[in-house]
Amino acid sequence: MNLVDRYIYQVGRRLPKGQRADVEAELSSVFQDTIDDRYQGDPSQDEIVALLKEFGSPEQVAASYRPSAQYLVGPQLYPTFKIVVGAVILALTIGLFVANVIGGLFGPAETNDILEQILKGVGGYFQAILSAFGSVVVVFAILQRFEVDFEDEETEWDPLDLPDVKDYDVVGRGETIAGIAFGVVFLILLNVFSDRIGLVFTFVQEPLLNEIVQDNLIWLNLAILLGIGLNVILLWQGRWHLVTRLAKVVIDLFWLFIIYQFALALADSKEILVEAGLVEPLPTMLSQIGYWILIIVAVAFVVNTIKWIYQALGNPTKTNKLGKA
Amino acid sequence: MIKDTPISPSHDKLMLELRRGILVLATLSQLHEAKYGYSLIQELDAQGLEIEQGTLYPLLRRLEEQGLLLSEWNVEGSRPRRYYRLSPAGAKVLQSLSAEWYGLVDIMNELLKPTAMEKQDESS
Repeated sequence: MNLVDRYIYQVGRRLPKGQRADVEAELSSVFQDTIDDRYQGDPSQDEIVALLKEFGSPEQVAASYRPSAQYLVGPQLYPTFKIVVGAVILALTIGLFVANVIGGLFGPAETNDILEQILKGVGGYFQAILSAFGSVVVVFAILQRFEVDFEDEETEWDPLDLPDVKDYDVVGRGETIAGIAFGVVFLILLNVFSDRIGLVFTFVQEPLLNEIVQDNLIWLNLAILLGIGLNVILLWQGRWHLVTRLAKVVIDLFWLFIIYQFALALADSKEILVEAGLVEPLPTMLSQIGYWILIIVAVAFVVNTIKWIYQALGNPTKTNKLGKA
Repeated sequence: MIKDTPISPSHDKLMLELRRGILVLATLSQLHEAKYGYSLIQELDAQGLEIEQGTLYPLLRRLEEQGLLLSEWNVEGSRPRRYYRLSPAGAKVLQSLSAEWYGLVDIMNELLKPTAMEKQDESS
């Protein structure tokens, strides 16, 4: 088989069957025309090579017969694709969380180590996200193949629907004042009733697990005080600055540390509950519920902090610069 | 085709994009009568517009798929050849694209005219 035939075959096998024979026949015909015209029908091997190079690689030529087939998910499908991926990830996150909590409550605990459990959960989560993402890509790749177009040309885009630009640098006064008020109230309650906080049962005299609160009393006080202090500064300055942003992150991390201390203590609390006279499965359930609630709180906390840092670093800075200019 | 040493890394790409825009118009303009691929290439080449074969043939197919060209195999010559010519819809599109082209050329000529200041720069 000569080079030209091999070339045409390579182009053809990359085309849809319906088109293949026709394109191959045409290519064969134009190659003959070119060879007759340039080399009087008798080209050398080098001349054929040069001619084929001029045409371009078979991949390239085949691709230009079907431009839309060059996308796995093309620009027209991409906006829809993004929305679907976002929705799937959100649904999975919520679903896995609920499943893990129920599993944690009613299934046998595989390990008491919180870190190990979290790592396992996170690992499973990423695995699920990856395979879900893969499935969505496959579905869209098929849609792309059949050139489905979701674009709704009926709905016209209206500039008046554009949302306001949110200035994340401005401190919400109401929020700040409420933060201070709640902080003070909580601080007073915490210290006045520090020996009354815990699990209360009619048949037990003392509130259970109060020692967890007692052990962490100093940290709780410190975290609340720092929060109040930050809110006062914010109220005074009116805008977020680098120092206050950093302070907020530090305080958030501090809260995370306290939550971790509580979760650790709760995970170990089963025996104390049994000793206090509670009958199984109550102790297991209570310690597990407490433990998982704290984990959810911790994750929500981390997500919130990351979101907050992202907002602080993202668009608002640009808006701010523009505003100042 | 004008080939210079690249002025900037994106120069070749920009040049290609600029040329790609006119290929459809150039092709349609030559197909009032039926022509086969290679003859079209030569005709355009003779007028100074070089189109690579690997670009033109797929383009002809796509224009046919869009209903702007009609094609048929002609087996009368020394070998079978596929002939393309404008469809009625293609003729209308050609007319409208040509009008647009003339308008754009006028605008571009005006835009590219050197200003008094640039002339001064060049002479100094």
